[in-house]
Amino acid sequence: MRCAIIPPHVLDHIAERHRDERLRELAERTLAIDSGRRDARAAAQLIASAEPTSGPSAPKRTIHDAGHRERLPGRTVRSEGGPATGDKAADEIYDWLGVTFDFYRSAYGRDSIDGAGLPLVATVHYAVNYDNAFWDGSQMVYGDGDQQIFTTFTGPLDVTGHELTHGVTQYSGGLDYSDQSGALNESLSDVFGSLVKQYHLGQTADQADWLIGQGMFASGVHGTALRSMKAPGTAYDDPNLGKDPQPADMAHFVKTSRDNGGVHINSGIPNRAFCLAATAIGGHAWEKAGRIWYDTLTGGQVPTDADFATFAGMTHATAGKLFGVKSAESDAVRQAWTTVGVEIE
Amino acid sequence: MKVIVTRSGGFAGMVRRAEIDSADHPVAGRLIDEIDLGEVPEPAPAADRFVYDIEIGDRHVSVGEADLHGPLRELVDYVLAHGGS
Ligand SMILES: [Zn+2]
Repeated sequence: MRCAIIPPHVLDHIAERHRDERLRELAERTLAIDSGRRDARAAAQLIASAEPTSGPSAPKRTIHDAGHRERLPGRTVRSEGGPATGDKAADEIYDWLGVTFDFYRSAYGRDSIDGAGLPLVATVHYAVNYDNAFWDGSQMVYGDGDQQIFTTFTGPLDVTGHELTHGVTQYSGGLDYSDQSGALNESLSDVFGSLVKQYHLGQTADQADWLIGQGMFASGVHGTALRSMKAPGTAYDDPNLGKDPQPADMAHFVKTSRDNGGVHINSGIPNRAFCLAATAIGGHAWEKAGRIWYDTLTGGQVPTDADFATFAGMTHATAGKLFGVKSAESDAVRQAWTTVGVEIE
Repeated sequence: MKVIVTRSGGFAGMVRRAEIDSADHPVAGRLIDEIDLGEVPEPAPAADRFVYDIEIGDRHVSVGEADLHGPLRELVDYVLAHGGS
């Protein structure tokens, strides 16, 4: 192959530095088949550990203000490269979109939500006392919270990572938003939402809090966060809000017609599986466990109605491909799913 | 007539329930007269959007946040504001 004449250190350089995904992939493949100095595993690790760099691909952010109305996108308050607005929510989201964009680019070589540089559009101050944030299929939308239970949806980085990942899942073929496939959809948003935060803080798996929505509750609410990936069901226990309803394993799977079949409840099971795998593998969770989940999600093979067992089997297969079928990484993935009661055939 | 609103879903995934009796709330009674539940579309699941289960007497409907308009929206907002919890 022609590329064999390119010295390995140049390929290293391309794989690490080049922001064009196709060229990166070519460099990866070439490294993988190159004459024995490296194998596919080393190449995968090399890509997974690529340092963040500035390059030709940069985010294209636009922040709008709905002025507490429900019309989208609302008045433009900040465009890419523009000065800070002085509005806390608008400036937080501008920054968090940038961090999330940088995370996907640096960790997985992904260029924005669609992998092709999609502009990032967000609206803040949506509706009155609105206790929610969502991805509407083309943009992100944030309420201010009612100030009684929730004080912010723009403050915690993982909320933005979560919402943006709904877009990544959508552009990867989608997962039907009900029952187990819906809970997987939710879980993937929590997984990468948490990973964006860990990446931003430079934390390893054992240093991370594995919480979703830490810092959103008003003072007086008995709880630390909305969800705990490490210990589902323990994030809050409040006289008014009730107790965190997430199950930690299949034996406690919740059957309900609400919330599209409990997609925000049963996501606790795959959330914990990811946390267990990442913690067993060790190091920065986005590098190996995150790479396994990311490659599975974006590989184009996940059925839109996938259940937990189907997705679990696919993560195990991906781990085998990336790190070897007898690798510690592959074992960690199998063990993690087994612990939460999902058997891999 | 009893009106019960149960909101689920949203990023937080928390359930909020509220209930009133239209006999005590003439505003709600007037809104109920204007509501045609036959017009409400089947809820289309959408990531992190609220889902509302609405019971009006012995009638029941599930509606997605994006499809909640007009007098039904006004009724839901009213019940959530005045129906406790
Ligand atoms: Zn979500």
